[in-house]
Amino acid sequence: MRLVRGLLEGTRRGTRIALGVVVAYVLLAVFARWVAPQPVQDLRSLDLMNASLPPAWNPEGNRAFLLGTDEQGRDILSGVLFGLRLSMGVGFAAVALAMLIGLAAGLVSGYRGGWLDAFLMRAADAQLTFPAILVAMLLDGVARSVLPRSVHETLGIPVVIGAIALAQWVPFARAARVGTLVEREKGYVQAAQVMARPWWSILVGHVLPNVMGPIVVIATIGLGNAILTEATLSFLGVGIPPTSPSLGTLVRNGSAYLPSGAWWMVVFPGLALAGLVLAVNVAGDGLRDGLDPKQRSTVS
Amino acid sequence: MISGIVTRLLQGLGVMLVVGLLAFAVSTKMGDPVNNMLGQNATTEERAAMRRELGLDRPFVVQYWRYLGRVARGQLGVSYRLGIPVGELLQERLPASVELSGMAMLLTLLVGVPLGIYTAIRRGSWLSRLILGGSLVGLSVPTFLIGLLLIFLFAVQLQWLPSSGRGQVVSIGPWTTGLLTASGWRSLLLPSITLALYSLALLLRLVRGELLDVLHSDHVRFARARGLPERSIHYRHGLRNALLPVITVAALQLGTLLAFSVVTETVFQWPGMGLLFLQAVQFVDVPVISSYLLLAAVAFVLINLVVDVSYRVLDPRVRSTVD
Amino acid sequence: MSVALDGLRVSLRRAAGDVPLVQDVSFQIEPGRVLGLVGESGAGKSLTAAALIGLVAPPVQITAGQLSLRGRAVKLDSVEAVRPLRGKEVGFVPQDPFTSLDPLFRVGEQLVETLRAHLPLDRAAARERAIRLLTDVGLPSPAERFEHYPHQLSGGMRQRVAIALALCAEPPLVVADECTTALDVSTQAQIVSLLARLVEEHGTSVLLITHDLGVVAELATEVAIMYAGRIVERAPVGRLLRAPRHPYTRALLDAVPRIGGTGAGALPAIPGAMPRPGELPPGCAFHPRCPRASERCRAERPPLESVGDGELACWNPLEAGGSGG
Repeated sequence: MRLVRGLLEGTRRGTRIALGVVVAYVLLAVFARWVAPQPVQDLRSLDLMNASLPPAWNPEGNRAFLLGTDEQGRDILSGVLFGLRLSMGVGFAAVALAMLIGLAAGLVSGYRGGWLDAFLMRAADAQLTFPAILVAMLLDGVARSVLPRSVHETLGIPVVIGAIALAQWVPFARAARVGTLVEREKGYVQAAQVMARPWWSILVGHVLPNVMGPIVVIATIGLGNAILTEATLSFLGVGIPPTSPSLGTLVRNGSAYLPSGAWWMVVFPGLALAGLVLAVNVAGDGLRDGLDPKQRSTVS
Repeated sequence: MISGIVTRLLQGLGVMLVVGLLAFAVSTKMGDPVNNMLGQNATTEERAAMRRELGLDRPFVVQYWRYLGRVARGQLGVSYRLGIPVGELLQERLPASVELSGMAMLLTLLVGVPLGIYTAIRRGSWLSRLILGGSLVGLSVPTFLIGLLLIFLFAVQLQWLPSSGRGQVVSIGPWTTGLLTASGWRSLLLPSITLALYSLALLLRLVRGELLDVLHSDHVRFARARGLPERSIHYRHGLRNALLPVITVAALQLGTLLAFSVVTETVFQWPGMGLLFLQAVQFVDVPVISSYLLLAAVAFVLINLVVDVSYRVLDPRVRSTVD
Repeated sequence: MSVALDGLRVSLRRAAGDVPLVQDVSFQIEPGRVLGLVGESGAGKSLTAAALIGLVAPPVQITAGQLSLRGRAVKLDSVEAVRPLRGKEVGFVPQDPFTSLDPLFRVGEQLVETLRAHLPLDRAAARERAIRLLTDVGLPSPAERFEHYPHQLSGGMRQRVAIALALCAEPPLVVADECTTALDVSTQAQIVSLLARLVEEHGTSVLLITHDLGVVAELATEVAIMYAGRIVERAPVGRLLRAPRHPYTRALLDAVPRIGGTGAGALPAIPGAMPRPGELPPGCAFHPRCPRASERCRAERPPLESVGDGELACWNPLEAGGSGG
């Protein structure tokens, strides 16, 4: 992919390390089932005798449960791996969806102009005044009340993805719109118009590739935010249904035992989460610099 | 300038009406108030009577109009969950949120801005790199995790600070404040730090970015060429130009703080509006939800208005009409 | 007292080795005289200007050079030595009047600030002086304009303010870096005549950096031509325009469109492009584009030597007194 190579060219070592970390996370998540020492999803394998064990290097710990166990005897390490999968999956999906919505809105808005453009931009402005968390919470609440419980359980994940995407589409739309306005005036677009190509074909074939640069940067920032938002929603209990716990849910569960000193139930999922978002943020920062050397690096 | 403000006010009003409409629509679609009030075993006639009484048999527009009327008079309904008038609930919880957010905003400004300036002026020093690295961490660690870790360290292990609640509060008229007691302050410390961290990191990086930009601009170069002292260049010419966009963002941060207060209030069991909203969403307590949304909309519109006005006041280019 | 620059060297410091950007630039300017520094983009003119006020930032560095004015000699390779010169001994007029003034401060405020940075004046005295300066540079209704913000002034007016700012401390040397380039032609003419008048009145030495030969013809007393970081010819303005000796100067003059024209045909552009720093050819830097290049030109770089009323660095110059051949 020319775009990827172009992006990577201008980057510094720190960025590449961060990207490597992200890739490592992705691999861990994808292969969780094989990497995880314990089959956490299998309820029958749980033994309450293993409940609340501290990490393996602690004298009371058990080598089989490297990072300790929770109050039901579930291995923290395995739980983290599976939770990573969910957190990352939701994050990626939400950003992808937001990008899709934003691109569609921005491209069309910039190209057609007129009342559609004005309306979309007003809507975007208005939505920006509302922080993402509230939007997501509200949407989840609506879904929860409108949908009967069983439906909500199965649809839980898509609802969260949709909520986060809805909160994030605006920057994509803005960037796409600006890019489109610029490209629209350029010769090759007018040439295509003369050749009577349908407008949507022009948009996708010509305008889109030129707009992708800044879009990718927004996507990386958005990814970090999406993962954090999902984790926060799950922590608050309005996110993914707890049957398949994400990292946020794990922290939520573990927080109840924090006062009694069982720190590992909170710290390890939390560290995994923070590490992931940190890597994504550093990578995003670096990509932004690689893309536009004029923009000062915010890292150094 | 006045016409600009009026335009903004009207736009704000428009936003509020739309939000009000949404809030109302949500409240009619979410759950059945008749069910909630009469329970499962009410008869059909009782339900019909209730519907007439509540005006639920009228067309949507009429309902909306009456809803607006009620809101204007301060009648925001009664909480499904607690059975208390929403207005009372809001009054009870508002001071807690305001103090928390206010404190967090103060921290963000007092720490974020100077650190941002430092990292711009002393670029490349190890301390700058440390601060920037720290800011990146601050943006990556979820708020709830910070709160939990702080609680674990200071409340559970060291036992220096309380892990929840507001401490002792003093009532002054309709307001309750924790700022007049030692325990109030001790309870405020951890939550406000937790809440402030994310926006602090954000503001720090923003100030740095803007200041660096300005310091490389033509007019700063000319100021240097004229032999003006470095200090004057950094603060008079550099900072004032850089702060303009920063003010906008800082004010909008207030909005973010209000939103994230939900998380912080949950972690610290802080009796504020955020926690109220969360509980309302979980319970589907519609009157509270819609009232909270309205209040939030009002707050955000006000904030945006203030930002707009201040921009006009501070930037002479926007201010002047003709020459 | 005349102002003299001796042996300026500016280089780009790199791990792989320094790249020279400006080499062996020296000149002398008498009071009330204007030296035009002319050349294509990238020749090193602006860098020379920046070096004189110490606005050169790493990795670009001044590696050698000495500026003598008011009886003192200052080594330019030390930032500490150069900093006190700014504004006080060396004034600077920037290129773009639209971005050079701080938009958040009133015009008068910026003048007062600069005056008080260099002279022991209280606010009232500084204000008086500022208004006098504004009158001096021909700004209409100076007392009124004192209270205005930069965006309320036209480009020409802003440039007048910039000139006033440069003259605040009555420096013996003023460096004008392309200060007419961003203006329209009629405003340009006004600024040029303003500068001519000021130079005469204040007895300042001026280094006029420009690529516009028309401005040079109007304002300069002497002209130095820069190519690839070095001066290749220096001569009094009249003689240079009539009978240049360096082929590059000849080519530059030929490339200027003249009313009446040089006859039918295309404007003679100089073939090729100026070599970038670090990519200089052996011998004379101009030889690949020179119609008079000889073997010696390709092998050995001609040194800058005194000739008659100026200086010249060429093995095969045009005949003195002739206009071609």
